[in-house]
Amino acid sequence: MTDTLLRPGSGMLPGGPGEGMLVEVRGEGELRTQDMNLNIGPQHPATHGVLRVVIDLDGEKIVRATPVIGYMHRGFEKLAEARDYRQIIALVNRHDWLSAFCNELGVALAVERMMELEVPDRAEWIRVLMAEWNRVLNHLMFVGSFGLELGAITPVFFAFREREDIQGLMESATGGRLHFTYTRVGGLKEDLPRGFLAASAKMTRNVRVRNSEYRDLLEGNEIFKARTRKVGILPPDVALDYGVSGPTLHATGIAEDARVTEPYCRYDKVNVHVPVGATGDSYDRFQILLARIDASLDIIDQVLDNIPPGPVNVKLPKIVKAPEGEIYVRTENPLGQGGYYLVSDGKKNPWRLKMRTPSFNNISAMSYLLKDQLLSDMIAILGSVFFVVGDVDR
Amino acid sequence: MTPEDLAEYFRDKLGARVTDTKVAHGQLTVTVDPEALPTAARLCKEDPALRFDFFDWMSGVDERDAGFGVVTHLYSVEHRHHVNLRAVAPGGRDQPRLPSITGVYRGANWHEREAYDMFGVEFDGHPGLLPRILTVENFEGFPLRKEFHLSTRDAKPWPGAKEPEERASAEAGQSVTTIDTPAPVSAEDKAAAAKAKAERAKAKAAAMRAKKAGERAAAEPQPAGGDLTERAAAEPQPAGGDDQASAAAEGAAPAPASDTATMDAGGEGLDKPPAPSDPDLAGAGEMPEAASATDAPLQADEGEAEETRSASPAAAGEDVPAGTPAPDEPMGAAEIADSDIAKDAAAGAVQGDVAAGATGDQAGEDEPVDDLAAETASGIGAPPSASGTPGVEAEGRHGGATEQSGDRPAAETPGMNADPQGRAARPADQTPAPGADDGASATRDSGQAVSATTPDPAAPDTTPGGDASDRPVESYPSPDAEPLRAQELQADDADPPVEPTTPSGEGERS
Repeated sequence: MTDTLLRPGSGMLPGGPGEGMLVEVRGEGELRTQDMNLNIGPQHPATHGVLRVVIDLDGEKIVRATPVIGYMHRGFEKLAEARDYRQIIALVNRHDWLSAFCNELGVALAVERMMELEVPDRAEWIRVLMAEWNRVLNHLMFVGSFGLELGAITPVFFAFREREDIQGLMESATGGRLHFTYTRVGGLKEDLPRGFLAASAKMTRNVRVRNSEYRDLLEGNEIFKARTRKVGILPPDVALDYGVSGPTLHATGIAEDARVTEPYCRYDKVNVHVPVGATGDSYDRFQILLARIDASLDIIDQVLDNIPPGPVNVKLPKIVKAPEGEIYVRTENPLGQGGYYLVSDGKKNPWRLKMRTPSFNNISAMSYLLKDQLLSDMIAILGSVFFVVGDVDR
Repeated sequence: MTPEDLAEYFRDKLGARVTDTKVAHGQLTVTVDPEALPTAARLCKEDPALRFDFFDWMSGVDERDAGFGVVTHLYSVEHRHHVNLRAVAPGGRDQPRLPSITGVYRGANWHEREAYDMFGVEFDGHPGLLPRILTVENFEGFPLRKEFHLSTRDAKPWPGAKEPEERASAEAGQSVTTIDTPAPVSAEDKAAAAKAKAERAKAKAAAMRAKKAGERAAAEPQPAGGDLTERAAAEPQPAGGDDQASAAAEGAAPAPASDTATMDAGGEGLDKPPAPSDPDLAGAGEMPEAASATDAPLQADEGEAEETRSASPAAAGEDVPAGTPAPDEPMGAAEIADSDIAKDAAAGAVQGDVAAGATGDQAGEDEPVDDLAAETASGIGAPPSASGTPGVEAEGRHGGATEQSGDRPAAETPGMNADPQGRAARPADQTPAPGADDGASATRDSGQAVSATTPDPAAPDTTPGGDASDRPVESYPSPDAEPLRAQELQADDADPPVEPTTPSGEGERS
């Protein structure tokens, strides 16, 4: 017992077991523990929304953890069946509100591939650009909030400052700050405003500088490290079994990324760096997040180098109808692999639109991750398996 | 392996248990016998040639009379191939049952619960389908089955019906999404109420218009466009009337011409005074106005005329100065012109395309002639200061101002980052007109552009290139964007380096 409570080099804990004052050990040297059932959430700040986790505790150890979801179920898949494809683009903006552009991109790609539409070159490049900005936006949010949950207040303010600037940039092109609704089937709503690319170039520089500051703030933080290292280790085979994707999967050492393995838009023309971790613990997941911001900024720079002039739209019939059949399109969303399984019966609205969301699969692995962990580590684990509750519940 | 090879491999391994294989869009769907689903899943996971180790998702699909299919999507990280494993649950629509594959893929647990929750497919061997995963515990029915109606669609017909056959089915009370016909709604009552409401709104709009026109008539001459718009608005609407009336009843924006006018904007179009900074509504109002300035609706084909008519009350109702020299009007036209120019020079696109893009792909039938005429009109009649247009449109307005001021240097400007001379030649564009209001979503970016170009409007070409060379951004070598960036960098020097969007110039605020 004693050696677990003493940190090497930290000397004796006052009043600790080394001094034999507080803890009295009887019998076989074990303390009696108490079983307890605990509800975390649904209104808990660490759950980013309304996720509830029912926990069975044995002392401090989590014996069983059961995530309870559905508090934010809005029936998007049903609503999508009553809407045409243009409206669905506005709809899918909303299930993962931090990855709005990447979501709408998935739907547009699915319909375009079914209709075998050729999307203008410039539109495809702009899509890459916007998807990467969206990724940076998303990751900044989680960089900030993860620190916040572990007690580091500062990073979230810094992160939101950058988010604000990027949101302003996105707003100048799309008109939206959170729900961009910028994609259209066959292209984009409109071309970028003048000066957008120059502002993008400047913004990448700023964010890159800032990102290294976050790295110093959190990775140089002893408390942060102590709370996240070797905590919540997810083995690669389990991650794949649960369909965990995105930064959480990459932290386990598997570099599966749809942008690389099955490039869409113009990701085949840019060099996509996929950072991977080694141990798959919370600390790795967080590092991946920071590294992914840099990787996205690199992609943005490459887009700025290569983006061609030209139209951003194709002429479409008044009513867009996907031909009969089904298709699955996956994209690498900020939180992981997002996908849409579209079954069309040839009408203007889909027969079935399955939304494969990264958060749903990631959270389904939560009961595995939390088992046998300490209660105090739960926040570090929940915060590092990046999810949005709207994306879980849809 | 290609999908075809995979299909062959599945047939070899599973024999008759594979009932169907299908390759569409390069994706393989293997339909297996329901009983063999766990076997097939285990084969997928453990066979070294397949190695489907990534459990992607599982989903039910309503297969009409056949009951419910369940599709499991698997992916192999190692081999990078996909498969859709499909099984149709026996038991029809009443008792759909399938064996569970949670023993093979742990991730299937929640997905099977979801399939149960949404479609009522029960999975034998699942550790616990209840409590329901997404819906509340006492929820009745299975929401993604087609016989489960969206309650809103039962209460009112589909508001987005545009085609005649849809309208007919909507009036008959038939929901678009359902197999069975729900109880018919009293369409007549609704239509009558909506008509009355539309009349009221129209009268109100006309009164406001008249008032505004009276106020401005003394100051400025009335352009021809106003008359037409007014006439179009005051006209009874024979064809689109019913559709529009029902749309009004449901509080949807009666502007089917614009798909950007979504339900969010609903209801405001008819009764409320203008929200001039709303880009959606501005977009909706802009096309018909720009067109009416050139008699376009009178010559346009049937469908477009109908659209224009049904859209114009929205424009008239919300856009107060419709009868006066509307600031929106030249601005809209200028915007089109601007984007036209940009895209035209780059790709030789038809202007109609761009117009379609600007208004949400809908008004695709626009003649380029209209645009040209609209440009001309804007060049003549455009008041340089206008209010309430964000983003791109703000720049479009500046373009309009330039056109008005004489020759059109902008006309040769291709894509935004394609021609530095074009940009450099229009410093006046970047100068905010006095009293200009960039609106709610005024771009910081355009504010930036203002601050970047104003210091050196006369000689932008003489910007020293060496200035930029010590900047990290120099690694961004696109030669054509160079002059602007150099200017921006100059402006940078004045700004604090980490604050990229210092608001500067009145364009940002007033």
